[in-house]
Amino acid sequence: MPAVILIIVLAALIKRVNVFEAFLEGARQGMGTVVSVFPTFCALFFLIGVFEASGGESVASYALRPLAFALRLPDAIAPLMILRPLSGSGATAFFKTLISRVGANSFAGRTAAVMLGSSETTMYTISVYFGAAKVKKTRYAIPCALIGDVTAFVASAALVTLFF
Amino acid sequence: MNYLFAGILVFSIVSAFFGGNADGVTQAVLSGGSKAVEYAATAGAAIVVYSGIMKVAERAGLGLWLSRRLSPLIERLFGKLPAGVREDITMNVSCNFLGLGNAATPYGIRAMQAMAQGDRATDGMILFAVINSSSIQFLPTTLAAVRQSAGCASPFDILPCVWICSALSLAAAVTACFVCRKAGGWIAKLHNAGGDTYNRSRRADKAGKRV
Repeated sequence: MPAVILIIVLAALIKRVNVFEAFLEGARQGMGTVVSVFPTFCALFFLIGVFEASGGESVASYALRPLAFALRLPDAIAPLMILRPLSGSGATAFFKTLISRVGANSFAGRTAAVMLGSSETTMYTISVYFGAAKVKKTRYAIPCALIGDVTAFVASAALVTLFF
Repeated sequence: MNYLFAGILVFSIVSAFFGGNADGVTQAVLSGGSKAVEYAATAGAAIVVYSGIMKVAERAGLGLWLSRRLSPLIERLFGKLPAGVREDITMNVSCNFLGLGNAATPYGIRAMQAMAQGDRATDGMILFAVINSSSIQFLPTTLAAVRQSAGCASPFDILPCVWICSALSLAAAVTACFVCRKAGGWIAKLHNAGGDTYNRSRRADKAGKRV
């Protein structure tokens, strides 16, 4: 990471870009992102808190356990498989609570991280893109995108086992 | 999202009554908000810093450099496209690649609108939307920020895994697209009659590519 930052700053200096101003502008946009997702965060932390405290989570993970087992995934990340395609901030919030519980460097923590990094908020993306183009018949778009997500889920656990 | 939110809430509260955890739920309702504030303060700050760095990268022309590199690949996947649309697609893919999801979306939407023909998705549009819905991030900054705020010493150590995994999922999704496209053509051939909607829009697809 330090090397990447160095390259970026050097490239910017060569191009005579005002590094400080560009940083401030990006940070301002990032600020906007954080502010715009904050209500979603509140809603989801509330939801996840209730979900965990009520014991609903253990019921759901229990129900998803055979699926997680079939895909060789740790039990703890089973809810992430459903959350990920539907809500980006929800998946991030779940990931946050997950790693504070099991640790960022545990098998489940790493697998969840790879899952998040290599998949997208599929349903959201598809609905925004086709919605903007006023397309109603999306044909095979959703099944194909979900095939990609499932591949990412299965591969994430396998790759974490392989690398760590 | 509406049904998911309400459904999980109802499911949780009902199972709390059965399990006798109603007090725990009351506490969770109160602590949810403060947890969100805590999260926004730690991970949010990191998101702001990384956005700043990525903006510097964008200004330094790294986005444009990438877009030139990617252009032949785009042509291969989507066939001939009007220059403006191809540029939008490359910028969208490059921004995604650099983890600038917010910067990528406007380009993506413009490309989709330019490719649109009526209310039925063309093959090119589906391929483009599917590529956008499978992550192609080089630096997953939000993810690293969350890991860092959880006390992880090397938040980027999962990067090789993420890259291989993204490549695999993208390959699977794109392959599925091409299989469906071929299957669609095959079904259209079976129908063979000139008047059905399938053939009509297949022809529209081809006409769109010849522009």
